[in-house]
Amino acid sequence: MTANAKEMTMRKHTRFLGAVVLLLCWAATGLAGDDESFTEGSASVGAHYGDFNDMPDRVGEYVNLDGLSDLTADFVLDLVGGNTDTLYRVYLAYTDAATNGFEFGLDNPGLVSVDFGYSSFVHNLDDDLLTNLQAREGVPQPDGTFNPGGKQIYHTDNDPLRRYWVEYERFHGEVKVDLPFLENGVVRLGYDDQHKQGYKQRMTIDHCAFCHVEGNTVRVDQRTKKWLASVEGTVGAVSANYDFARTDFADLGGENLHRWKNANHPVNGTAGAEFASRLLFEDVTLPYADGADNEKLTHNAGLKIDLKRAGSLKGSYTHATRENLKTQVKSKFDAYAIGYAKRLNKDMRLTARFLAYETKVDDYFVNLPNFRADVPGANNLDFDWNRISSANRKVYQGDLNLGWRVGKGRHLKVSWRRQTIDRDAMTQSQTTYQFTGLADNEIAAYMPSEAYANETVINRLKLRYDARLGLKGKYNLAYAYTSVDKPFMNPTAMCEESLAGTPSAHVDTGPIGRLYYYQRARYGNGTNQPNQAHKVTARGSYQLSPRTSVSGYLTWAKDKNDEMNLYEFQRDMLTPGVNVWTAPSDRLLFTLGWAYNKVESNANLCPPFFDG
Amino acid sequence: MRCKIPRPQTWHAALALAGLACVLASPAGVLADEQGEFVGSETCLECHEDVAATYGRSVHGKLRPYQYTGQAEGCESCHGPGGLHADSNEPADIFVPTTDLGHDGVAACLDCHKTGHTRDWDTSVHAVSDVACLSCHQMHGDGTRPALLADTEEKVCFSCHLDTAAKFRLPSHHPLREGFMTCSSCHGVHGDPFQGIAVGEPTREACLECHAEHAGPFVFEHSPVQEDCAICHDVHGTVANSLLRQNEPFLCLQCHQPHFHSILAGYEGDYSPPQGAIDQDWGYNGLSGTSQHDSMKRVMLTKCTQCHQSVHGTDLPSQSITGQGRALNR
Repeated sequence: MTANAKEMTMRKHTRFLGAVVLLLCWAATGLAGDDESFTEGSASVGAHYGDFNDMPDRVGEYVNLDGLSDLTADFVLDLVGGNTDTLYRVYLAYTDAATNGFEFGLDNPGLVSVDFGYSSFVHNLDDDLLTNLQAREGVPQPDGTFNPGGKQIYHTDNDPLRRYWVEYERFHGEVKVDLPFLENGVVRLGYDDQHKQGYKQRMTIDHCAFCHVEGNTVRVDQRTKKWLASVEGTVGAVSANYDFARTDFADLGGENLHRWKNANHPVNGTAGAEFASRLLFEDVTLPYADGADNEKLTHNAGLKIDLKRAGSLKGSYTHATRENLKTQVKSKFDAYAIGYAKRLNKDMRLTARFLAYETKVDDYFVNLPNFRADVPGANNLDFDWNRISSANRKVYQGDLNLGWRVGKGRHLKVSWRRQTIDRDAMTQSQTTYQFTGLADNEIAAYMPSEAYANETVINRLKLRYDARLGLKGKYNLAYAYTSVDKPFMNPTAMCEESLAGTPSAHVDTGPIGRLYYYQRARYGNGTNQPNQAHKVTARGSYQLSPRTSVSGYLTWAKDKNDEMNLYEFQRDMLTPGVNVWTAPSDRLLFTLGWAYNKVESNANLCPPFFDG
Repeated sequence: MRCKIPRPQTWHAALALAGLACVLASPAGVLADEQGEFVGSETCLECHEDVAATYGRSVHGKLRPYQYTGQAEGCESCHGPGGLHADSNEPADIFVPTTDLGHDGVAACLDCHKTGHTRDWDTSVHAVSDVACLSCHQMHGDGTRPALLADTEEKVCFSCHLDTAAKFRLPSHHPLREGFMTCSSCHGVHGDPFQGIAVGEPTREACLECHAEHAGPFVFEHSPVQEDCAICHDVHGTVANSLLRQNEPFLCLQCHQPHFHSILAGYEGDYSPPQGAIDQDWGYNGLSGTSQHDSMKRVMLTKCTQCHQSVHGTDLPSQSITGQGRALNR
């Protein structure tokens, strides 16, 4: 354990024990003396021990490994109590120094309630040994052997066999004040503080030299603070609310610096200047793994009208902004929602919802130095581009749901949703070179071959039937069909345009100039999103005896996308499971579960041939 | 123990007039004539000892007069006047929301719970799926569980959502069964203008509540991050690490082509940088490796994020000019 980790642990111990003492003292004395005071609860004390090797994060993702091999006491205390006017709850759970928490609630109904709590746990992270990152190109020879080639990959783990983890701490509190002069009148003030501390592995890569990947230890110290305020109330048939939230995220982990080394041609090592002209930077120390501090403000106002027999109608408006405090890039979000619910008759309920929202992120002009600017005879291709955010969109969504009680203990639900997503840019994954002085047909070989429509239309139909199995069981069957016109995809994911017939006169053929330094246009679609999806779900439970019950489920799903231009995407999922619960006596309980999870999907592996 | 139902105070009476519009819609109001007179909770609890034992300890047993929306308080605020039932002892003479109205017994709860978490209940997925308040809550609960839940939140939700419960048993999962979050950390179980997600904004914002480091907005984006986190992650649990739907590189290759290096043959033997590079102090001194015929494939087709570390977006440009700085590896 590092000194920093020890200090964190001590701090947490002190914090937790202080809270325990305070809350217990309060519980013991605070509400005593009232004739109707009561306190009840449970306490459990135990101990745990464990050991680990290899990659514990794969099987013990949230187990604190520090001191795990020592026998450690743990306990849980859950108390509730109160007097004539007040209720309180104290919950304490302690597993180890990094895994513990408490909740405290004090409720004086009609006047004020206070809730606050704290929790802490460890999240173990991967340590990538990077050992797969060693290779040297083999150049095939006529006799079938391979000579050593110029492309080489190396790796260096600068902190080998390091264990990485993040301790996640959260404190939250809320004060609710009832307004006696207003029906359902409530003012809420809340605070939420999340703190992540620890270490993670981050890689840096020097490329366009020898490819050299280095594993580095990066300190994690991220804090998210959120303040909430809301007010709501009812006057007659109208209820209204206003909520405000401010969220500040700060990355306090400090700057991570790496020295990017000199450019070095992989084949011709002396052509450093040639390579440097194709890079944004080389032989320089720069930051990496830089967190983006951001600030978010959210306003939400809502209105709900009770129309009595005509149902209920509600609407809300949400406005949110978020700003990246380092780049000053801002996003803006506006949403309008309307909902209507009505009982058509004793057995049928209808709900309708409509939602419209728009997200807009500032464009960002990325100003880059010209390609091979310092190379004599170069044609100074301009690689500047304007980043249009893929978050930009207008979304319209409508839902219709009909619930119908078709008989005693039997219920049928039919739901339909239509959603349209109109984006400014579905993806900008492909480079958008701006060539100058070229004919259109010459440019075509370097540009995206096909503009992809940015509008997605989703239609979804769901049917669900619930029924009882006599007096001891129940089951439900559900089917959902989704049809998507132009689902989210990377339209230029793979398969580069052929170079055949491409004029090369415009491509600078300086000392080392070659076509292959450009990223040529690709035309093959790629996605894991279906344009048609079927999903069937069956769940059921049955009480075999007063002390034994069995439950089971089966989910089968089939997704496919046959709209792509190269191949048909398919994803099949099958997840059955059975659970048995039996309690031979009041103090003995057994549960047994079996679950199976199979997901099978395909992709089109389409690597380009090296044509340099 | 008998519960004391607080009596109205004078100044509250005037305030109660503001709620008169709602009185007519309350079960108590509708049933006032059919069930006789109001008799007060003390009368009810004289017989219903099981309820009396815990009612006073619950939040419902401690309401103040001005918190009632109808003309009755205590038991009769939900059950209507108890006069007839108290005289006859006949169950049929008292209104029981769940028995008399079935699912529509929810209306008795919503008569008071019009705002707050239950504001959007009417149009929620649960409401139209015949889920009622008592499917999860115990009206006469003793207050030992928060929000009068019938069991822990996890057990209440998983009693229906069995398949989701199983996903939380997979190797990579959110820390729900460890007790560090609950279903309602992300889901608005009582309804929401959006898709059952708690924060009132698109799904992605629910994720950013805890993962704010991925919020940006960044200069260099990865478009599925802006679209929907669920394109790459199955948030309830997966076999692959980091809640990924598939392991790398398979997941990445569904939307991207691999680098051309992946089809290059590998040299068989040990290798180290040329002496020229070492002499120029480029930081490669001491590097060495052992290459095999398929080594280039192992490099390029194992884990894309070994190099493309900033898959959630970054403000720092990558090194190549022709890549326009957007390779997401800083």
